[in-house]
Amino acid sequence: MSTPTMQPMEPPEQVPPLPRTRLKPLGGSGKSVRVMLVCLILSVVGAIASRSYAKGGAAYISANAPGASVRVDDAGRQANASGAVQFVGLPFGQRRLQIQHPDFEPLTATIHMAWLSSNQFSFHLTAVPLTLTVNTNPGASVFLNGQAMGIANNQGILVKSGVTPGDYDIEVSLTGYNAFRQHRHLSPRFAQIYAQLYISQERIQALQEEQRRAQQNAAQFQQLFASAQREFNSRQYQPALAAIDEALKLEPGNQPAQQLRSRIVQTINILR
Amino acid sequence: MFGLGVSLFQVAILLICLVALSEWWRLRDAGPNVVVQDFRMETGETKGEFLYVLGRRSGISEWFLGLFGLQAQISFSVTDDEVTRESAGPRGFESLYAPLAEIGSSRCSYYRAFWVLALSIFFYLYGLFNLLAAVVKSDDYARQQALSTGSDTVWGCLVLGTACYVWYAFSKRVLISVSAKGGVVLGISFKRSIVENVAVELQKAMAAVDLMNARILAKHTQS
Repeated sequence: MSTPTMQPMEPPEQVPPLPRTRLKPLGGSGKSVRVMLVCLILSVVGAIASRSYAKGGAAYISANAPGASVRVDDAGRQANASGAVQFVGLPFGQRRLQIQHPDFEPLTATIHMAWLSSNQFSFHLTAVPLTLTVNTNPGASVFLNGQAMGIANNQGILVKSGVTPGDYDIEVSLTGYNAFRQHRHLSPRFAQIYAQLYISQERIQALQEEQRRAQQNAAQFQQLFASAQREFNSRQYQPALAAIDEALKLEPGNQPAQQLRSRIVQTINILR
Repeated sequence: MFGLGVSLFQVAILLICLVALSEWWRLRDAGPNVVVQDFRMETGETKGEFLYVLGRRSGISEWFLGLFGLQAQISFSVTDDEVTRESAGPRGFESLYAPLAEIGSSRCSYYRAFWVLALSIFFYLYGLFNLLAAVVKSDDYARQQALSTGSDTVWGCLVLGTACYVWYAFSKRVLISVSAKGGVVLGISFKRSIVENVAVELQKAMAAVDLMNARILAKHTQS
């Protein structure tokens, strides 16, 4: 009987230990930088855009009504001499516009204020015709911008309707009087003109000259009349007739002179 | 300030203080923070010191002191028998030692001031939501006013958010530490840097800690 032979046991094969499973740490991928950059860009763009938006827009409004009162929502401004006005800092969107002027029909409109664009608006207002009343001297002629409007009546009043409001050169004239000239704005509120005319200096001088001449004539007449009477009383009839004729040339209608002349002529005829 | 109302600004400062406090708490066992000047690691079957980290303390004040030759240096050394951390500088000299056989645990971490990042994103989002809330206002005048205020707030949040992100970006550091029996913690932390054309970063720090762990384990097995 054979004994079983012992087989030498082979040492177990060394199995290398499995490596420890490790987590991969986050970091270095730049995710936070990307997030931060997105936030940064959004914030910068948002801040700049909101600042720009918050500043509001400028509205340039023009109308054919110089000095008109212009309101946009609750803000009011006065238009300049060319009828333009500027509003700054208005919020964008629909704005309510009102333009008022005593010479024109009031205007209400809605304007759209747009962002990043020029907001220019132009409006044409309808003028309100006025009735012009001129108080002046009877018979005076009235001119507006050189155009004849009519002649004042016996009470010195001229009424002209349908006059368009605006600035006018007004002239009121009458012969022998100083002309009334004025540059004035006519509107429904200022449609009365008081133009009292005064006698001109030339006219005054002419009257004074006339008066002086009349006084001279009167003195000369008295002299001639007295001379004629004196000559008549001293029976110098021809010189008396010449003197009274001279006197009557000065005052043809003077009755005492005419009577004296008749007496002189009768006496001359009797003496022939 | 920065377009924030006084109360908002105060809240922001309070949040920053809270986050700073929480991050300080996270780093309480991190050890001194250094700028690495030397990093040596012997991976082969060597005897003696197999890990050595040398650095100078980081920070503006330390850099300024360095201009006058008062630079503080810190070393972290691990040999077959011990772990040592030494610091020398204007504050004096300190040496902490722990036998390798007494090491209970080791730690390698890659620290990032996460809550600062969260705060940074919070500031950005707060500003943007503020804008969004202003944009959706129906009244034009109210929206204009709200956007004006919102713009200031966004700028303020932008400054604070960016400042927090810069803080976060500069806060990244690698921590290596060991805990000895008795609760003594020996550690050092450093920012990723290039020393002698070799990047000292997390992977290298993990390799160093792996090596240290193996030696600690071997020491424990021997004993």
